[in-house]
Amino acid sequence: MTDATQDLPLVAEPPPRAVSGPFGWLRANLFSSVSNTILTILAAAFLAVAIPPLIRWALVDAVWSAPNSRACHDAGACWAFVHEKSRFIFFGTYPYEEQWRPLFAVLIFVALIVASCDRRLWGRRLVLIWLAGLVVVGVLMWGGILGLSYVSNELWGGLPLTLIFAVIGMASAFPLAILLALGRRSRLPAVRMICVAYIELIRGVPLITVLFMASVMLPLFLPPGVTIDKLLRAQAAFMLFAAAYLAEVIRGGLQAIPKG
Amino acid sequence: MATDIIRPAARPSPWRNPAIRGVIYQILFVAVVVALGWFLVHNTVVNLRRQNIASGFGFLYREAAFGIGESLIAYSPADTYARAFLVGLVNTLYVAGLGIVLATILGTVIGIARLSSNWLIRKLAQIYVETFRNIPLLLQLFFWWGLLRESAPAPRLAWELLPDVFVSNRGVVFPVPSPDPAYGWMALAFCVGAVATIGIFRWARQRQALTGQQFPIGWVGLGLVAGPPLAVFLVCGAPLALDRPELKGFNFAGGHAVSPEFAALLLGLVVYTGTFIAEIVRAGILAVSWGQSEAAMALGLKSGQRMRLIVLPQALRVIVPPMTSQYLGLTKNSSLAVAIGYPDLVSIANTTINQTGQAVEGIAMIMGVYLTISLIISALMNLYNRAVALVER
Repeated sequence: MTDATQDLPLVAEPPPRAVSGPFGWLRANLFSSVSNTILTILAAAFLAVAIPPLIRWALVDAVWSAPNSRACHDAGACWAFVHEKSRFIFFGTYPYEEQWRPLFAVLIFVALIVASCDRRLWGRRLVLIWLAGLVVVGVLMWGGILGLSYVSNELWGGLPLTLIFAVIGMASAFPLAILLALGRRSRLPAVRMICVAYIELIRGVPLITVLFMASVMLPLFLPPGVTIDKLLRAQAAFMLFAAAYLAEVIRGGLQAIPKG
Repeated sequence: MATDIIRPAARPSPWRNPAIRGVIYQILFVAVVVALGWFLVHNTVVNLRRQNIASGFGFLYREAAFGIGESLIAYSPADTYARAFLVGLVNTLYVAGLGIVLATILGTVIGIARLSSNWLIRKLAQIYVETFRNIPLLLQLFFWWGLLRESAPAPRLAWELLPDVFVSNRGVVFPVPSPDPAYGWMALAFCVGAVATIGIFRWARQRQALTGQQFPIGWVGLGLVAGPPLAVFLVCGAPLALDRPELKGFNFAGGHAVSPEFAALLLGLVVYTGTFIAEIVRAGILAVSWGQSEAAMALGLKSGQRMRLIVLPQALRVIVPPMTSQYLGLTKNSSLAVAIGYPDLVSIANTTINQTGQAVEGIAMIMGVYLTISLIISALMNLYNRAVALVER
């Protein structure tokens, strides 16, 4: 009586499927099941259809330099236009000869923002550096002293304006937001209700209506004879808007701390 | 003399009583707010009188005298400003409602795709999310609008994306089924089937709770919902005629046409909000720990039941609140339509303000409408949230 299995010849087993190496990776990540294989093929087909025309448009058929606008007709991407207008795109209607000034203003902003990302530099000195930086930016943008010609803020535009808006808007919205957040958590019902009404009113309407209000209604709100320029109006609207959203973020932070 | 100072006060001075202090602070605060409000209102009244601008909502009943590019309800320049506002409101609600539905579908699909075990799908979804989430919506609207308005060819050379779906610089046209009385009856049959399904679902749940017997509610429900409309469709002779767009003269006739402005706005809103919804869905699914699925498998639930009974209810709890803010955001962002010329509420109010000079009333109306829409969406989503939220016992 011998075990039946002993007589059976050993069947040659196929080598184990590759579980490592590029083929193993492909099998695990792209072809692990029938539905996955179908998805992979569909996605690859989509890429095959979409990518070549995009490359043809952006690189092969593109016009890199053109003497006039007609050269771009019936061609791919018109990068020549971007190159031609790049100064306008970055600096708007700022006087052409003076555009090194907004460029420096942008560089100062970038340096300040990068410096602020490093936690070790946080402190009173950074605040002073920020204030000094803002003064320098103001001098550069407006001019009128130190031999720089005066440039009215009606002519500002492009990247420096975006940065000024964002930085000053956020910085000035923050104190207001803290007050609103504290007011919303206040035990005094009248204070709480007014803060809640303000926050919910601003959060319930689109930014564009607040900007509209600033541009159309602010002149009506002020006493006759007092005018504020467009830049300040938009800045004020942005500040009031950002404060309502920031207030909710701060309130969330305050609520996360248990009472104990 | 010294004793006067040391003697403990029988009653603290009113100033030190927190309750009284609170009342005084509040009176001061309210007084400041009221004074500020009065100052603004007074200035406004003076300014308006000086500029000879009428106030009040009487202008709503005057003739608007401006055309509106597209409207879902009948409108002509001879109608009143009130009617024009209504057109804008309907346009806003239309694009926002459609956008919410489409963005939810797109976001859910992409959110699940980001968790796919398929590397290519996962990466494609990630590229989509990271690209469109980080470009301002206004730029995306300009991009889609420019693509449709400037880069798309004239109707004669229109791109045919799918059979009978044409994209040209006049917008997008696609075929729709020609109107037929059968469709109305099919809708009625669908409603009857849906009501019957809900009834059977309740009965089946009760029976399962009492006796433990399960009822194949999925298949019966599908039959009840899809069966009657299909039967009506076949009885009416299967009216399949499509209203196809055809090139006639310089533009397409027939089919359903969508303006480039509407198409760009809807596309921008859906593609932008879809990225955020995708991340919310992904976070919601990841928030349900794998142990829950393992426990469900140990109980012998099938994969469909596992998803429906265990994972989804817990994921929804995480998903619903941030989803509400996305819906609100989409509705408010639809006001950017003014930048590409889709006649939404803000765009029409803007025209009205320019024509009548009544900025205060116009802006008050826009704010009131958006506030109402926002509050309604919040209220509905809060109701839904209460239904799915964790009930702690």
